[in-house]
Amino acid sequence: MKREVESPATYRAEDRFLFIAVPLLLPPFIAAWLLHHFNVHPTGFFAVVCAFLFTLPFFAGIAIFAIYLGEEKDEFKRMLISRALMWGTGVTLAVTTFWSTMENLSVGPVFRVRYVVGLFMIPYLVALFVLRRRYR
Amino acid sequence: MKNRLRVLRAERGWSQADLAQRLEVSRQSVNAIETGKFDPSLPLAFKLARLFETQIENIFSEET
Repeated sequence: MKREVESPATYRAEDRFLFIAVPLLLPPFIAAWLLHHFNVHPTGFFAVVCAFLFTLPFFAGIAIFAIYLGEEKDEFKRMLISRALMWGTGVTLAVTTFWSTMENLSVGPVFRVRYVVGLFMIPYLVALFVLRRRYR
Repeated sequence: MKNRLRVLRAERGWSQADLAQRLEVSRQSVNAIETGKFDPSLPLAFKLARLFETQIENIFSEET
């Protein structure tokens, strides 16, 4: 099947993800692995820094999406991406709210922060796939 | 909103991909507009009108 040519904005966004967002996933995962491997439980300022590391890929991701939506000239594609982002954000908010409530009530296991990226990406990609199929 | 995009395109013997290239949008966008699933913005509607050398009202009309 012939792959359609994407817009320049899409290629730029893909490059940014590859060279900025993906590498930013590494520090928190390395930190998590080191903390787990050496059984360290950070406290105080070090704990804040560790927690902040986990947010870096999200900051980068949101910035890349925002830049892409600003650069993309194809308004229909902008609409598709915006809708898929809404699905990803909505599902992430709903599931994390549900799970944290369960945690607060001590009836559920602890939610691992490393799952949040997947929790966002799965509904986002599913929504994008469904929307593209719908309008192909 | 109804539109005559498919007719105008067929008159010129253009494929959806040809029109998409001329408009600098994706083929999906052209398909979505043609099938009435997506209403284009005013700038894109003007671009279409310019491309087909006609008025916007000759391409798009209100659904009654």
